[in-house]
Amino acid sequence: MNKTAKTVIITLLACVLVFGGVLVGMNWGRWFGDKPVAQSGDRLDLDPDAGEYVAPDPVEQQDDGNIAIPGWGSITIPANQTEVTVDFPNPEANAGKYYLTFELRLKDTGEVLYKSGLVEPGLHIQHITLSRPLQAGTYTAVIHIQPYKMDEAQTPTNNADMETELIVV
Amino acid sequence: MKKRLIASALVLIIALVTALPTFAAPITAPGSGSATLTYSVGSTYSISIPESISLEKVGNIVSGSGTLCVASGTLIDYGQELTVKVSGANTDPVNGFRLKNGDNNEFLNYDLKYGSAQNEINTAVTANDTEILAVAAGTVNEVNCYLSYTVTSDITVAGTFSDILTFTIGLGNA
Repeated sequence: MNKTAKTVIITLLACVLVFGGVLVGMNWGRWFGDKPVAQSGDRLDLDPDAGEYVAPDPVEQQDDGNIAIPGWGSITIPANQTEVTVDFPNPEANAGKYYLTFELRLKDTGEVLYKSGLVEPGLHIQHITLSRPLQAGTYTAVIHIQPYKMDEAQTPTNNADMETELIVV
Repeated sequence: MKKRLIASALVLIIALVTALPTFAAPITAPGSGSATLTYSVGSTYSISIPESISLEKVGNIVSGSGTLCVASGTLIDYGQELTVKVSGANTDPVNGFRLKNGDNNEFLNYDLKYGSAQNEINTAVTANDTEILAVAAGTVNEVNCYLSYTVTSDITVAGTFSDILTFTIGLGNA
């Protein structure tokens, strides 16, 4: 056997080895890997992970959190004016959790005298414009406080109607 | 001469200043003076309400709980009390409190109960505007009202069911 023939044979053997290695590598998982139990044959097998239902431990009831709502015994405003001073606060306790809105209305008629936008925790509304001036007297008013979650959806939550005396002097 | 004039003027001024209190408040008899002190304290209180009706299924029971709290430091006029009433947005005269499925007319009835302790939540609320708490004037400590919600309907439709509670807080005569 001459030198040229030896070189050709060695080259061919090398090619066969490389090609074989690549072929084995590409099919290793299929030929030697773990086969899914349920697909090991032509028919489905029973899954060994299946068992009787075991109820998970009950998760301790989580407190969704409470919303701090301010209260007023009475509110005094001047007669025959629409620009009046009040104090509608969103308590600091709601920080990071809830916006509040305030709606002032007369209890007897339901007439809305004022409605705010969202108030951030720790901030107050102190100057409001009523929808109309009121004559002197004492009225029963309702301040409807609607909290909203401080998330993108601003979901409304449970709310409160604070009944209070509106004293107009 | 000048010194005498100055001295006389000074004596006159001192005499006048000394006499002033006598004109300000004539004393008729020892211990008979009076004064009125006034200090007004407005009613003030703070309350916290449960955010939502949160329910969970444990076994075959779907239920949840919440707490309503009147904070310490409440000041109410003598003879008055602070009351809390509860109403649901979907309450029906026949079925009572109900959870609603989105905008559909699918409802789940639920029992709303309250009590003054977590192991005594046994008073049922069957209609809107039911009083669940009264706090008398002079109460200085925090007062809690515990709520429980238990679904009583069979659940036949999947989805999210919810109700919004409104707590009406007012001051009135005890």
